[in-house]
Parts: sequence; C-alpha cells; structure tokens
Amino acid sequence: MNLRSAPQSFSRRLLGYFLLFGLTSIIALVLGVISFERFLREDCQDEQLLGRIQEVRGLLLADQKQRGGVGAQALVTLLGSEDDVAYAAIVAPDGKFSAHTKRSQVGQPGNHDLLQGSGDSLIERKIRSNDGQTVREYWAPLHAGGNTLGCLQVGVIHAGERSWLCHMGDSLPMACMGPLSVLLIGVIVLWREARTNAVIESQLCAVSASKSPADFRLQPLTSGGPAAEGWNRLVEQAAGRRTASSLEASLNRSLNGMQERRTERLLNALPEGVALTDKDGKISYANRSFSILLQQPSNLDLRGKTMPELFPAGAKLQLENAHLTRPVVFEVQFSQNPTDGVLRVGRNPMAGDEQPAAVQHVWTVSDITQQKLADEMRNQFVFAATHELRTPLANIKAYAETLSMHEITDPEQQKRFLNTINSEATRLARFVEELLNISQLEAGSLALSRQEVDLERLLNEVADKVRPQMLQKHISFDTQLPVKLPKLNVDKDKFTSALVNLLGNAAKYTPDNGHITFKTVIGQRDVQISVEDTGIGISREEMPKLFTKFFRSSDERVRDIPGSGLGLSFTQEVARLHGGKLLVHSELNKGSQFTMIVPA
Amino acid sequence: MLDSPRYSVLVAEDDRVMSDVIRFNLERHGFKVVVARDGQEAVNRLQCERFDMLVTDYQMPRMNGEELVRTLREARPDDGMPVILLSARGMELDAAQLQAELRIDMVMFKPFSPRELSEAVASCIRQHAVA
Amino acid sequence: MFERSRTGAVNIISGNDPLNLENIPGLEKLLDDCLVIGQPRVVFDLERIPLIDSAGLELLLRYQDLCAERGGVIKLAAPTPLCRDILTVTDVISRFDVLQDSLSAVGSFSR
Repeated sequence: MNLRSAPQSFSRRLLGYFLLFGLTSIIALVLGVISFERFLREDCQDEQLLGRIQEVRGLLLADQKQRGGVGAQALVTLLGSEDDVAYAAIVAPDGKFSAHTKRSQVGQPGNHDLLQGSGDSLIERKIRSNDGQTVREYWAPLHAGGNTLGCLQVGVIHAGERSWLCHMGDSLPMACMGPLSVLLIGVIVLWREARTNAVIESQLCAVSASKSPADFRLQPLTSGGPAAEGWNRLVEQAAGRRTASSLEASLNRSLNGMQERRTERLLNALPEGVALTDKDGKISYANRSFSILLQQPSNLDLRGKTMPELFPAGAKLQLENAHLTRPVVFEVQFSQNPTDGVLRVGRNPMAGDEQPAAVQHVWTVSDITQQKLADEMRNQFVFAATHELRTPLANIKAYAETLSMHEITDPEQQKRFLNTINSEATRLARFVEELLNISQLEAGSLALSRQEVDLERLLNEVADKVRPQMLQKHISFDTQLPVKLPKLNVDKDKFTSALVNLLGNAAKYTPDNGHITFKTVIGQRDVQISVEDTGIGISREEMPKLFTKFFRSSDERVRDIPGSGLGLSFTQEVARLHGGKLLVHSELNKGSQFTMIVPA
Repeated sequence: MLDSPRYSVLVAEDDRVMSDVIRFNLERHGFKVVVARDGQEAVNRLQCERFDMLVTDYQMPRMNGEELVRTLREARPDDGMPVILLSARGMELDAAQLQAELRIDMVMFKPFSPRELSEAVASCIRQHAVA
Repeated sequence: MFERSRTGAVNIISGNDPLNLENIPGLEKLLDDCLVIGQPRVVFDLERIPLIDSAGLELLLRYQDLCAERGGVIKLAAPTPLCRDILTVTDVISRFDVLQDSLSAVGSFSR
C-alpha cells in the first residue's frame, strides 16, 4: 500500500517539527539576546565617549582660565583622535569655529543655533552628513565664570556596525516577536498535523466504548493526507461490509419468514397430523390435520393442551413404561367400533434434545381406519375361509375313508355316504367360487360381461340349484313367475350367483319346515326379483351393517350357520353393477325379504 | 375292539354330516355313541348321564368346545374323563396350551382320519380304565 | 335422486340423476355430511349419472377443495363416456382420481 511510501511517519514528523520550531525559536531568542547585549554594550561605549567629552570640556575650561584658550586647538585635535569621533570643534559665541579638527574650518561659520542653550547639559542631535552617514552630534556648552566661551561640538559616527546596531535597536520588539511567532506557527502546524490523528483516535475510542460494532458509525475525514485517505478507505470498506451484512440480515429475515410460512403451509397441507409438545407435555404446535384427525373443532387452539385431553376418553395412550426418549407407535380407536375411526399415533423425541428430562416430542397422527378395516376383513376372511374350507374337506375325507375302511354292504348306506361326499364337494366348490368372486370384488375388478339372457330360464336354473337345500330342511319353496318374462341384458354368471346367494341365505336362515317365496314382478322400467323367507330375520341394529363385507350377525342362530359374510355384499355389488339395487325388509324372528331391482 | 361293558362316548358336534360319520365309525368300534348338537346340550347330557369319553368339536353354537371342557373340569375336578378336541382351526388355536390347561388328551385338526379318531378314543379309554 | 352410503370409513355418493344446478342443494347436503368428522374420504360414483353441467363441475371442484382442507379427498368412480368427456374437456378430470368403479375407488383408500 502507498501508506508505506508516505514520506515520514507521524511521530518522526512530529519530532522533526518539534525540533525545528524549538531550535528556531531558541536561535531567534539567542540572536535577540545577543543583539540586545551588543546594544547595551554600545550604550556603554557611548557613555565612555561622553565621559571623554566631559573630560575634554573640563580641560578646555581649565585651559581657558589659565592660559586664555591657547591649548584649545590641541585638545580638540586630541578628542578628534578618539575612536568613532568624526570631528570635534569649538563654536565661538560669534558662530565661528574657534577650533576644529580640520584646521581649515577654523574661522568658518558653524552651526550656532544651539549656542543659546543654557546650562551645562549635553545636547545630542542627529544630523546627516554630506556622505550620507548618520552622525550623532553632541553639543556641550562651555561656560566659565559667567561668560560663554562657546560650545564644544563633537560629531560621532557609528561605523557600519554601529548603524546595524542602531537598526537592531530599532527592531528589538520585532526580534522578540520572532521566536513567539515561530512557536505560534509551530503550534498551528502541529495542531493541523495532529488533527487527523486526533479525530481518528476519538472515533476509535468511541468504537471501543460502544457495545457492539454495529452501534457505531465511523465518519470519513475531510482533511487530506495519506493517513486520512487510508482511514477513509477503511471506513468505506467497513461501511460496505456493514451494508452487506445488514442486507444479508434483512434478506435472511425475509427468507426465514418465507421459510416459516412455507413450513407452516407444508405442515398444514399434510394429510397426517403433526404436533409438537414441550417438556411438560403441552402442545406447542399442531397442524390443521392434527385437530381434524382428533376430531377437535377446527377453530380451537390446541396449544397448551396435553395429549390425553385430546384423545377420546376411552382411548388408551400406550405410553406407560415408555422412556421419554424412546419412539413410540400405537393405535387409538375412537370407540369399540373401528369404523368410527382408528388413528395411528407416533411419538418421537425431537432430534437434538440432549437432556432426557427436557425432551420435546414430535407427534404424528394418521388415519388408518380404512387400512384397519381392510386388515380386519382380511383376518375375518382368513378365519372364515379356513373354517369354511376345512369343514367340507373334513367331511369328504371322513366319509371317503370310512367307505374304504369298513365293508359297507348296505347299498343304501353306501349311496348315502357317496351323496354326502358329493354334496360336501359341491359346498366346497361353491365356496371356492364365492372366494373368487370376492377376490375380484376386493380387487375392484368385478366387471360385467353382459349378454342377452332368457330370464325365465335363468330363474328356473337358480331355483333348481337351491331346491335340494330346501328339501333337506323341509322348507316349502314357492316360485312365482309371470307368464311372460322378458330377455335381460345381464352378466349371466354373476346374476345367477347373486340370486343363488339370496335364496341360499333364505334357506340357511330359515328353520326347518319354513317357507320361502321366490317371486318376480315385471315393472314398467324394471324387473323386481324378491326372495321372502320365514327365517330368523335381521335386527334393526344390524340392518345398516348388513351389506358390509364379512359382516356376520352376532345372533347366535346365525353364528351357528357357516357363512363367509360375503354373500350379501357380493349380491348388492352385482345389483349395483347392473344399475339396480338390493332392497331389504326384515323383522327379527319373522322373516326377511330381499328384493333385487334391475332395469329392464 | 373292546368287550362289554360297552363304553359310552359323548360326541359334541354341530355339523350333522360330521357327527354322523363319527357316530358310524365309533359304533363300528363297539362304542355306545350319544351326539350332542352343541356345547350346552353336551353339558346337559353330562349332567344326567355318565360317559367314559368326550369327543368335542371346537367351534359350536351356544358353547364352544373349550368352554364345554372348562365347564366339565370345573364341575368335576377329580373326574379325569378323557377328552379329544376336534378343530377346523389351524394355527390360531394354541393346542399345547389348551391340552395342558384343560387336561385334553388330544387335539385333532380337521380334516382328520376317522380311523385315527377311533383308535385314539380306544386308547384313551383304555388308559383311563387302567388308571 | 342421490344417496350417501358408507363402506368402512369411506363415503360413497351415488345417484341416477344429472349432476346439474337443480340437484346441487341435495348433493351439497350429502357432501356436507361427509365433511363433519375426521378426514373425509369420498367416492363419487358417477356410473349412473348421465350428465354433468357447469354447476355440477363447480360443485365437484369446490368440495374437492373443502375435502383437501381437511386432509381428505374425493375420488370419482365409473364415469360414463359422456361424463368422462365433459370432465376431460373442462380439465376438471385432472383434479380427481378417477377409478374404474366405486369398489376399486373404496379399495384405493385402504392402500
């Protein structure tokens, strides 16, 4: 950086200036003192001269008194030989020189305007001589016993030195002012020099005093100099960084806000319920699905509530023995009936919580009612199917083995055994067929292959299929067909199975010696085929569940009779697929009437 | 085949087809067979008659085989009447546990062999008679 | 005539009238019943519905949104070719899971 190439460092410059101005002022002071001393010394010389003049004056007066002024010329010449004395003369009262260092001047008129001066005091005056030199003239009147002899005139010339001294004497105040002004200038220069640093220092102090760097703003300096320029650059850089960081912060804030909103929206869009509980087990967050799944009013704020408050009273939260940090998954049922809702609830400790006592939990809730029902159906199905498959199989095996084991000579009995085997095999076959239908039903691929069917023939076939069952139980079977039956466009196999189901049910649930009516009515737009029995009937409570797959009445008499609980749901589905419906009228202990209505 | 006195066997079985073939086989083996159509009927029969052996189906109306045996064992704790349980259930039934708890001599799963059943009944009665 | 039936936890709406302005109020009532408790799972059986008009389409879309708000969904089953065309042309079909028949629609909820 060019800071390095700055001419001098501040301290060196400061030292330099200090020395410069200090020495300069000292020199100026010394010079002043010297010149003053010289001046004082000059003064002293003058006094010597004056003393000499007085002395000569005394001698002159003495000479006049004793010798009548014979030695005047000699005394003047003596005085004129003194240093610095340019000339000496005696001006007589008549205004003529009576003696003069220049003999030629004797008798010449001189200045006598000072002769009238009285007293013995010395008069000094400055005159300018012909060659431009300043001459100091001393006039000393010569008085002797009341008469005036004249006046001693002495011209003193200060040579070059002497004139410089005079000049110096004149400018003595200036000489005093010199060092002062030098010091003043020094102060100003140093102040200017140090001002940049002082400003920087005060700013730095303020920065150190402020709690956080962001609180204080650095000011750029206006005065020049490389240091100020460097400082300004630093300030600029810091300011830039601060703007960048504040921009970053505000960006972060808005991003975080967006993130939060996004997370909120994301959580609310989840079909799974998500909630967060704090260390006290109180809910601190719950998404929308959570309150919906727990069947809470949607406007209710769940925060602050605990989990057991939210779940139905009967539901057991299987959290006992579960350590707080252990993930738990359990199922909650809203009532005894799984159709009312089954939830799978998961509780997981929030990741990052170190202390087990202060652990937060993330709860997830999902509705598994349908899966649960499907599972239950499958279980029921497997259970029913094993039983239904094994029973005829066991009979077939038992009879066949009995036949082969014992020598049965009675042909009647042999035939009876064989018939039994046959009917059990039929039962097995029918069940297998039902299973197939149901598996199609389960897969949702129960599709119709419609064809034109002679309804009369179909109905008779159906009646023939179930008649042996009726005969076995001594049930009177009454078939009522209209004279003329139309042709129907139906899926023959499924339609037949559906009707066989209805008649088979009637036969199964009608006690011995009962009565079953198989009746067909041709309507204007539809065909109504009804099966009416004098069986055990269906209770009002169980009516709504009648067509549910695998539903079997809890009536003991029904439980005694084997069945998969699939027949009616299959029949209803067949009716629906044909665009028709299945109606039920039933009264417990009196009988039931199932009517299948299909469009003609 | 056992000699007289003829041992009597109570067969509790709701399926008439099945009970017929059991009766046929056991009678052929010389047992006196009484058939009850469900658990409750079997209990009633046990109260008024004495049987040497009980063969019961598991799944029956009104009272199932397990309940029947339990009732029997509770009513007569000292009477170690042999019991064979027939079941059309497979895995769902914990046979070993039932056998231990209710002192059931044998659990047979349908479809079973009638000959094996007859032999099992005979051996149970014999063991009980010896004891 | 429209009716609501339940298979397990799934509501099935079926009927044999056109899905038009005239039938909207009755349908709204049926659909509102599906929205009362928990997450609605609804199958709209279109098999015997001969026609859907704009009001009907709007109803479907509106209730699809209402169901979605509660984390549920409406699925359509067995639309007639005409109804399927109407749904396709208006692109309403893209908002729905359309299944071959109501049973598979119900079954799809247990997966």
